[in-house]
Parts: sequence; C-alpha cells; structure tokens
Amino acid sequence: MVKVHHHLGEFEDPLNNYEPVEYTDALERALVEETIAGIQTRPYVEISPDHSVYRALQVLAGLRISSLLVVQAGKLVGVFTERDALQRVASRYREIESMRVADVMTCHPVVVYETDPAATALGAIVAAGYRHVPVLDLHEQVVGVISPRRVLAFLQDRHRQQREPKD
Amino acid sequence: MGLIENIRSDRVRNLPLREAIRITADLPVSVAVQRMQSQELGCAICVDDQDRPLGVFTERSVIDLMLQPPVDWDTVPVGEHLESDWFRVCLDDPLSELIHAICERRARFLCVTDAAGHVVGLTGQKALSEYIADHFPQLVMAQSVGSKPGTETREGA
Repeated sequence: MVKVHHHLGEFEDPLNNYEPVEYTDALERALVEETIAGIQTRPYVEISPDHSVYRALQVLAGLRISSLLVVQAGKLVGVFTERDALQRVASRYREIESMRVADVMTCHPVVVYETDPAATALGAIVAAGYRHVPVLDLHEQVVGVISPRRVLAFLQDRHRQQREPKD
Repeated sequence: MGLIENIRSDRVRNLPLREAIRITADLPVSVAVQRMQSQELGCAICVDDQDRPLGVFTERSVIDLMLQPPVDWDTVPVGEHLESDWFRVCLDDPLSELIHAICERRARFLCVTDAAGHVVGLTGQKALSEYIADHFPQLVMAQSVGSKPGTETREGA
C-alpha cells in the first residue's frame, strides 16, 4: 500500500491494492463489461395502439416476426406479441377487425436500457421471463428489442472473437 | 467447467425440458388453442398413435388461422394447420445442434424425442437462455432489470 504524506496527514489510496476482475472466459467478460448496445436490437417494428388487431396480426405474419413495440407520441406504451395473440385474441378471433391493439397489448412491459450491462438482457429474459424486451435510451426513446436469439448471437460472436483475435 | 466446454460436451438432455402438449391431427383447432392457453405454452406437438411427432401447431399457426376467412375452429381439425417448418432434436444430440437450429434456422421451439423417436418434451430459445444463465447465476440474477440508469450527464461536482 502506497502511503502519501500530505500536509493534511497520511493518505492511503484505497485503489492501490485494486485487483482487476478475472473472468472465466470471454463470454463472462462480455456480459459484464459490454452493454446492451453491443447486442443486435434492430430491426424492430412499431405499431400504434389505435391500430386494429387485424393489422397487427398482418404485420406479425407478413414479416414473420414475433413482437411489435406499441408506441404512442414517441413513447413506448406496450408490446404486442404472438403470446398476446394466443392468450388474449384467439378466443375472440371473429372480432379482430374491431379490436384495437391497446385492448390486448401487454402494458408497462419490462424494459432494459442500452447502457445496461449485457447480462441484464439475459436477466430480463430468464429471471423476468420475457422473450421480447424493448430497449430504451436514456431519453426513454425506443431503440430496439432484444430476444433470446439475439443474445445468443451476441455470445456466439464474442466466442468467435476469442478464438480468432483481431490482429 | 466453463460454458464453452459444457456446450461442447453437454447434450440436449442437459437442458431444462418442458412437458409437451400432445395433440392428435383430428383434434379441433379450438381444443388445441385452449390447451395452449391453459398451459401458457406457444406450441403443441401433433403425434401419431405411437407418440411419434408429425408436426407442430404454434402461436404462429393460430395467427395465420385468424387472418384467413373465418372458419369454425370447433370443426376444423388441427392437422390441416400444422407448421410446415419445424424442428426435432434427440435427447442425445449435442447442444451445438440445438444452437445451430435456433441461431441459424431461427427455430423457437424444438420437439425433443428419445432414441426410438417418441416425444419426450419441448425445448427452445428460453431453455437455452436458462442453461446459459445457470453458468453465471450471480451475474445474471443480480441485474436490476428495468431500473433507469443514472443521468446522461453528471450532476453536481
């Protein structure tokens, strides 16, 4: 421990004996040190809560995607996923043209921020139990969505980088 | 061992498997949908009388059905609306095969069979995520999901 003598007395720098964190592998390092901004969060699709459920289902089916981010006046107000379609729409399938997205979406969805550690993405999927998690910036604007497949792709990529380090 | 080593050596049987919803091809769509709703599972596996998989009926199949001209779900057999593209893995297949199906072929659900081809469960993206998280439990579970980070610019001194 380095001791510095100062006119106010003896000063010990608490960071002098700081040991850098040791990671078991590149994946653990990536989960801790990288942020969600490093995970693919686009493309994603927005829809208005005032659109019909029929329109939302058309978009899901046409693009072969599993979730839509419901945005109103630039703010995220919900998500509408294949699961919502099964649980909240399927029993009323004859009414899909008159139902609005706002009636069947998941309100107040769990979100993550692009500045969160990458491990938060895995936490949102595993601990919170959501498959599609919207990603926001610090101004609460939507910047994308993460899914298990995107997190897996991120980890695969970091594993490849470890095996094939850049020059 | 680390995650990479375990992925190389582990098999599909090492993943958390979900009990599959088994349906037969002649079952009405409405019954299949009700079972998926009550068990909160996005996929049902259509099996033959030997419990071998014939196809899958998923949330996506339900959406496709809703977009078609209305038909009576109480009379339409689910066998007419199975997914054309579905995935099957065996209990003893390496995890790398499952990862390939999920990442490269965009599989969400995979039907798991034993060596004789009988359905033993269901796995997919979520199970693989749980498997990975199990390798970093303190790291993943300690994350504060959804809490807003600090301000972009530092305040005060």
